[in-house]
Amino acid sequence: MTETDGRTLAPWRGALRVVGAPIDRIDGPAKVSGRARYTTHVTPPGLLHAAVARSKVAAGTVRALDLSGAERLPGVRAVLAVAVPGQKIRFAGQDLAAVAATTPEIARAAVARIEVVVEPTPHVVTLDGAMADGAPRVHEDPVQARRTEGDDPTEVRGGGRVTGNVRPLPAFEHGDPDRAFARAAHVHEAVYETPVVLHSALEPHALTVAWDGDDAMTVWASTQSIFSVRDEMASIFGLSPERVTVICEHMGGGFGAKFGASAPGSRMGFIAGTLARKAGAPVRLALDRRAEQEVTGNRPSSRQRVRVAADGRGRVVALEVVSHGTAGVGTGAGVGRNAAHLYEKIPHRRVRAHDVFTHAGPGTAMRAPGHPQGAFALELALDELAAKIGADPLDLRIAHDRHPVRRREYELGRARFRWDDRRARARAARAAGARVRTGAGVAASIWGDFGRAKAARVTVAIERDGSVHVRNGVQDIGGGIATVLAAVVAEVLGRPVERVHVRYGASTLGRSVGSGGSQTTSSVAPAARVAAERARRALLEAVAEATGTPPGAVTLEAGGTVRVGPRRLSFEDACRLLDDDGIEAVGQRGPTRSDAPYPFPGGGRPQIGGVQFAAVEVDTWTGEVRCTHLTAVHDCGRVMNAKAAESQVAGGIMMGLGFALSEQRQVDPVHGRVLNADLERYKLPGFGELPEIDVHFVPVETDANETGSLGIGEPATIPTAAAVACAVFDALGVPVRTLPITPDRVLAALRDGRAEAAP
Amino acid sequence: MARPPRLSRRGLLRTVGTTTALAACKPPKAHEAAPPEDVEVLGPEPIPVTFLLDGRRVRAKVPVQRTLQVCLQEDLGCTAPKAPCDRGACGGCLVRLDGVAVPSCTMLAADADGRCVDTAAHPDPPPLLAALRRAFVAHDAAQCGYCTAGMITAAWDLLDRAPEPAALDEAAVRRAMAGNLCRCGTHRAVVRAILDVAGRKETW
Amino acid sequence: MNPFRLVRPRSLADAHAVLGADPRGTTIRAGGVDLMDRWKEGIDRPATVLDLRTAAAAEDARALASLSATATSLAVGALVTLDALAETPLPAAFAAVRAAAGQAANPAIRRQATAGGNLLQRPRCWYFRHPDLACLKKGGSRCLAAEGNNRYNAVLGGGPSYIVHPSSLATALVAFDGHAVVQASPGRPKEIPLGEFFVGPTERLDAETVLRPGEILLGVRVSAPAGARSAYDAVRERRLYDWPLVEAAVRLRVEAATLRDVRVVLGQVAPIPWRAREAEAVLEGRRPTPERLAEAARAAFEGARPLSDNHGKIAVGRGLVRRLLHQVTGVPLPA
Ligand SMILES: Cc1cc2nc3c(=O)[nH]c(=O)nc-3n(C[C@H](O)[C@H](O)[C@H](O)COP(=O)(O)OP(=O)(O)OC[C@H]3O[C@@H](n4cnc5c(N)ncnc54)[C@H](O)[C@@H]3O)c2cc1C
Ligand code: FES
Ligand code: FES
Repeated sequence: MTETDGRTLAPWRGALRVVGAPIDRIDGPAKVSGRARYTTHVTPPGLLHAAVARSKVAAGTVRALDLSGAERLPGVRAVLAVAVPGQKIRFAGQDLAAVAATTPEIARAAVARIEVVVEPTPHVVTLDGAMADGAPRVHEDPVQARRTEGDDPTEVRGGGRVTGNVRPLPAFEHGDPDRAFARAAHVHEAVYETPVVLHSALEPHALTVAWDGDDAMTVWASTQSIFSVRDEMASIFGLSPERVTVICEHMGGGFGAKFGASAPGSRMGFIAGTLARKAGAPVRLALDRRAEQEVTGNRPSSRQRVRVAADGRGRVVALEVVSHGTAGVGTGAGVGRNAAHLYEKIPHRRVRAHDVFTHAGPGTAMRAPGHPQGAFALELALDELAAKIGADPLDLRIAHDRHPVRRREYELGRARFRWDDRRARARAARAAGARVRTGAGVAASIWGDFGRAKAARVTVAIERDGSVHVRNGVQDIGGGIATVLAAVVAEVLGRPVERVHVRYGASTLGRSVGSGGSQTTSSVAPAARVAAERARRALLEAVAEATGTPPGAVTLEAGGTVRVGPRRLSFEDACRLLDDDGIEAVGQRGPTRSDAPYPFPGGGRPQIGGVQFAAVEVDTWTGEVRCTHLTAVHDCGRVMNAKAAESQVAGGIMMGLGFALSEQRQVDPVHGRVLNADLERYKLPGFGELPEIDVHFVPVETDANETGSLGIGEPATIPTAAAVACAVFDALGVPVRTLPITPDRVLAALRDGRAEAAP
Repeated sequence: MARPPRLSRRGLLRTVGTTTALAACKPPKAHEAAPPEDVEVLGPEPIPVTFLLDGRRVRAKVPVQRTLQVCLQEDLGCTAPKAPCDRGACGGCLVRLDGVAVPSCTMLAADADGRCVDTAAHPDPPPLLAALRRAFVAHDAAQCGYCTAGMITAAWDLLDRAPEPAALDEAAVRRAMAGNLCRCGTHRAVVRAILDVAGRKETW
Repeated sequence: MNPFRLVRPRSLADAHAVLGADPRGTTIRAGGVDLMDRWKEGIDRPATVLDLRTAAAAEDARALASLSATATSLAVGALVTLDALAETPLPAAFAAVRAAAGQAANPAIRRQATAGGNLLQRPRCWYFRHPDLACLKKGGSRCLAAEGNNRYNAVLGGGPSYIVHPSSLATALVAFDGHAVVQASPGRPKEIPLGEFFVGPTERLDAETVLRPGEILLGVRVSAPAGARSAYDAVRERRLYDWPLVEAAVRLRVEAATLRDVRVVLGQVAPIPWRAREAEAVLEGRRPTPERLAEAARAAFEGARPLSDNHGKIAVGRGLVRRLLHQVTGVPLPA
């Protein structure tokens, strides 16, 4: 077995044979035939079903637990107190106790019989409430910022001093904003708000634990990070990580909320593992939708006061964002890097964000943490300033952006989207006071390449029968990494994709990364290339040796034919010359080698751009908003699979449309309960929201890693809601500064706008 | 007051569909009113259910309150209908009951008794289902795949029962699929896949 | 969800016999969509469940399962599914009914849900539906929406509970004269005028209609004056499938260029399907000018008393009614 970090590999240039083509997903057939097995489909013999008793109050102190009612119920095999007397309750839905029973019905019935006395204490669930003088304190002790792989990987969350429930995040300052504002010719200032939204993966968190003796276990988990689950279970139960096998064959979406054995607000791994040990049988803990929406993480809210100023010549000179948001009991209510780093030609910039603690389930990373919120406030504020100074929003953006690729994307989008036409039509309808208006808006994305060196070990094997196998323990969360592995290896070995067998989704298949930070492809695909190149070389050497040919005279042609001096062997025939063990090569990715085409803030890695243009139609009588068209122009280095990349962008757009138009967690201010912990009144966008989507990739050749691939999952969702909000502003002539842009808010904005316009 | 009905052995009684069209407003078959003693009573103890699942006869003994979705997943090992919302709100659990796509999370396993349940996991897929599967792969209409079986079931129902599939336009497809949620955002691909199959009837 | 006894009658007579034995302890089940939700949340714990659908084929149950119409009358059996109601061509007068049935919930639910169940479903208010919160309608002491998050609650006719009536079909049906046909025991059913069938929280907290335990809703019969037209529409936060923020149905006739027999009903705004009589008065006997329609739309929400979070419904509802009036009267909508 040989290893290399691929330092010597020549970068790929130009079009390739397999990589970058539109490739069918290798897991497609299993999924479309309904045969794909997800965590809840795994039923080891004797499987028990767990259910968790959760706090019904948002704040209090646990005084007593009585589990006897549950213990007596026939069919119950284990009961566990998760909370202990004296423990503080900080949000509704917090774990109290759990049971394992022979059927899910019995488990639920048993949970209903658990009695927990919680002495309620005052709670606060709203931003205003939590910031008010004398508000109940959510945390008495210093707070440890909880980080997951889903968090923005470069953010250092030092955390300032907590005052009351308010905790400042590290501030950003560039230039001298105060002076610039004081001198500016035009200043726009307004407050922008985004709600708490929920990940709402269609598959709720689920985990099945089967002990194998006292010191080993197998865990099936719906997770974005197999190895985080492994390490966390090992640490909870004092096992060697090697003795914990984690399997995630297929999983039904995570979006940032599925990074460990536990959900952000529920100790699932501990509960399932402990129940399984107590009961002496495998235990499945699958959350119901209510718990999924109430306790397993969320995108924090934000209330952003934005000030932006221009000089007399239409140049934006200063920008300031002061934000407060709540991640419930958790941390991480930042607003991304948009305001700090997107428009670098704004000379004076300041961003100050704060976590405001409330008695609600913890926030956690959600697809591009902070960025969609930040983009919304920044871009809409810029458009309001543009309107004030009579500037075209697109020109204004191009004039303040230094990223060469993004600038091209703006120009490409301008043409594809027919920006100038659409803006002119919107202007005309506005001037005519039309009932149904249209509008156009544009917004940008900023993200970095967080691909990691040596984080994934990919094995490529060639058997004597000519079959090619790839192994890595990565999970495919729907992004299509398994197919990318097949494509990369097929490319190197001159094989058709369907002849490359990929095994993935288990910790036994080799170390891999968590799927967060859009780093999966750029961390794992390069390792696959390195491994495949190793395997290729080993194959050629073996053929040379077997045929007594000088090593340099054996080559692999694009179609997989092996040329041995003047002779040509089919790939299969060449493989027959191998000895019984065949070939097995392991590859790892090297360190990031380049920040081309343009550095990410802080340097050392490429910045990923992307811009989106939205067209909307607004009924000014009813306030209904429809996004009719969305042009997305993105870059992600070398596209690995054109189909999956386009799907990622379309998916990011749909998620962004939900953020723009319909999604918001609703909490009862009095009882602190989530009122729409469901998929009925928590409103995911649907087929009625689907606009005409035009996705275009700007190819970028970067030598950042061995495949030149960068991430796309997160950048794709950053600008959508912002672009829609800007388009609504264009349609109405008045902004809707609060997401989601619901019919009532549109009409309120029109009314307020008229009131402002009136003398 | 009427006599309380007595428990009776399960008869051959079967539920009947209630869908009626104006054209079909003929009186139903005459039927002698059964005396209350014969009224069929199931539960509260676990009850046996038997039905045709994807063309194969299956039986299970289930708690009377068990939903069809749970019965399919837990008792019968059928992996197609999932329960993302468990409240009729997402379409992830759709099955075709006697040929009509309905949520399996809002009905009891008992409701399927004696009937035909078809799922996206059909082992011998009819040509239309097979064509939809191919098109969903070709258009990349499954990302995480959790909603996919429900999507395919809704699409199967739509095209199977449409008098003229080729006449379906995008608006009709969107309306028919409106109850199916997807968090990965496959909507565009799903619409394309369905229109693709609808327009090429010769392939199924 | 607790285990229960599931009873499958073979005829309406069977059903009555079962109900008669224990009217309070027996839950009538039609499509079961609403019931399943309530059972899962633990809001209801049924002892005996009577599956009405198994009686549908019986001779004595004909009314339950049939749908019939003439140009001016419509009879909808309680067991007719929303999907059947939406997909069956109906005379133009009843377009509102078809539209309401066809837009309610989502396609799969519509194939399972029945007209009767839709009219009799319990409130969708998130406090009522919450497993852990005891609101006024569930025996608690206060309406939790009044002091809580009431974005989707009543702006008209509320108090002491501020639920909105959930049935889209009811909104459309109340736009017509008609009756609910109810049977308490075998024999002649009684007919209850639709205007009296739905009752608000001042009259009842345990239900939203006058139906009593043990009574079976056989169906609804409505009529329309000759030449009437009707329309239904809704504003939703998601376009193709969502609970409406506001919905409305309008029925009227145009005679010699004036509006006659005008009825305007608002849904999702009050504890009952809400007759907007002020709007009707503005239009009755008048010519449909754009100004008149706008005035009627304003009048529709006369007397609205919004709560803390739902005042937006009023403007949205006015816009909806205005647009709907244009559509049903044929007065061209401005661009
Ligand atoms: C996701 C979702 C979205 C929805 N959106 C909408 C919407 O937009 N608009 C809308 O109107 N509805 C909506 N609904 C509600 C749905 O339409 C109702 O739940 C359904 O119509 C109930 O009909 P059913 O036959 O299933 O009733 P069941 O659940 O069987 O019964 C409902 C109630 O009526 C009683 N009952 C039923 N039939 C009779 C009878 N013949 N005699 C006496 N009592 C009877 C039952 O005892 C029960 O109390 C939605 C539901 C879901 C799940
Ligand atoms: S699980 Fe049945 S509709 Fe969502
Ligand atoms: S593909 Fe993931 S939910 Fe639809």
